[in-house]
Amino acid sequence: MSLKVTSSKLVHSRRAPEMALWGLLLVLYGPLLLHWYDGWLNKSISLEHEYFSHGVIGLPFAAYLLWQRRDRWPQLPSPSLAGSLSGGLLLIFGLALYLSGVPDAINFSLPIVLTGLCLWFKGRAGLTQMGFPLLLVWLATPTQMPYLIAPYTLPLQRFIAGVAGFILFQIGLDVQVEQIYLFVNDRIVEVAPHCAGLKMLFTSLYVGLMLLIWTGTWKARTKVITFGVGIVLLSVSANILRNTFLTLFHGTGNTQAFDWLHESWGGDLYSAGLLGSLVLLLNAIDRWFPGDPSSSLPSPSQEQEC
Amino acid sequence: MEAIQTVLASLSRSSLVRRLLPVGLLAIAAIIITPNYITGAWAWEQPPQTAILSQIRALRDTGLDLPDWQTLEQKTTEIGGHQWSVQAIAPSDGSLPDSDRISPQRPVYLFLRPQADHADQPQVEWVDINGAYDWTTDRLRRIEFSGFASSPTATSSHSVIARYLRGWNLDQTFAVVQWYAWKTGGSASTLDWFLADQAIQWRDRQRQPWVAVSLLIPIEPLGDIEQSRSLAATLGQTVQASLVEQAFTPVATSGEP
Repeated sequence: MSLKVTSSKLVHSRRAPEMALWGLLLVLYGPLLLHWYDGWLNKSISLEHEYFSHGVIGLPFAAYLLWQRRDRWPQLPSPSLAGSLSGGLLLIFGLALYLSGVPDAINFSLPIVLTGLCLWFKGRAGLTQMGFPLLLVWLATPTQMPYLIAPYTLPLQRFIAGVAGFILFQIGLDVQVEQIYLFVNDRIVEVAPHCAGLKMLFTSLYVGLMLLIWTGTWKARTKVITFGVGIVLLSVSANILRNTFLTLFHGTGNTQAFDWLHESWGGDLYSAGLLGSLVLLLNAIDRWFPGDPSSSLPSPSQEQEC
Repeated sequence: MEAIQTVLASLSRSSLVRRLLPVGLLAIAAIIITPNYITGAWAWEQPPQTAILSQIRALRDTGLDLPDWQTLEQKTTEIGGHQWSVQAIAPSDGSLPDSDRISPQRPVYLFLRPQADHADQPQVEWVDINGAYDWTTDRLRRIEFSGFASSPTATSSHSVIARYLRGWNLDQTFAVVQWYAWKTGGSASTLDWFLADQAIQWRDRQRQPWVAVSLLIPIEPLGDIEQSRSLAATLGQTVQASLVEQAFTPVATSGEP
């Protein structure tokens, strides 16, 4: 008897369905997130999925943004019928993907279910409110995207091989460039797709996005575009330098230095240096466009103009 | 129709339904997967695998038997960090009418790279081959032929769309045919393999086994590859069919009746 009373009390209490929802999400996706983190931190995940290792910091940041926005959530208006219906369908679709047992589909089900829940509860307004956290989750979800775009990075690989070859030639090395291969002293260095800095480019853009959200700079479109272009240029030049040094070390038989930069903590140092320079880049951009206050809220007219 | 809409609208407005429906859906999914917590049988712990991996990997050491063609020499070599089987082949006894330019002195070369492990996917095999042979390549176009798979029970046919190009250096000129072969098709594009792989993952929870094929047919120095097109298509078809029969069809275990 008393049990019945408590359970009906629970259902009617405001918090109970909410708690149940979070609990169930944890039951469903906790093990999956553990698998992602294990793969990212120990590099035991596939080459394609490793591209999304920026999720290590991105997912906690998304959770933080969610927490920050929790007070405004109940004040949002109720969704339209179309809004909640599309949310409901997405939710069902996402759960069906989860139960399909195909690993790639299971990965996709996390952002789809979260998006579906936002739509179901608050429609378009909910989607706008949670836009950034959702975007960060979507972009951190491991997919086969890197595999699909790899064939189109060949021109970038050729360009990087060409410039690295040019630099090495300038410092007096006998170097030959053939497509994506650098020949030095009968040794070959291949600029493979994942060596073309695609992973580092993705990570830089993702961290750049986090910086834009964090500082509120995303509201100033000129700065966002400048920052985006800057990140791409920075990341490609850094990669050219990295490949130049790799070829130099490999070509001159300096195996120790090659392994240090290629596999060991030299690679991590390179990544940290590149990501650190993003902060400097954003600072510099803030100084270049002084009339456009980034950290404070811009007035609506400013938003129109940009 | 209107009645349904009214019911849906009132349902979605009801706050209890709004709050409990997602909980219900998630609960159903959670109940279905709960046994995984005890068995540890999460789908991502056991990704789909290639059933016949060792069988197709054997191609690296043995090469491929082609009807009406004899293998003059076969060896395993490393190109672009991967193991390839390289075979020199020539018609058995002049049985192919179109192949008077091919002889044991001027053989056709057949390059095969079967996937190395379950997670191995087609990548930049064509660039690797070009890089290894220090070629100039030009005249890139497509060539289409059908691959026949005859099993005791049925004959099925599929089409293969390969790259057809000219590769040459100071010594030799070849008409080159390149494609990724799998059991039910073949294409030079990794995207086509990817789609075939997705299809079999959804249907059978398995990966699509593949072999990269590169055929080098000797032609006149800087000659016209169009003159070798019919030979290229015939030979391509023979290779595809032999791969389906010898590599992609699981060998029946001896215990079976």
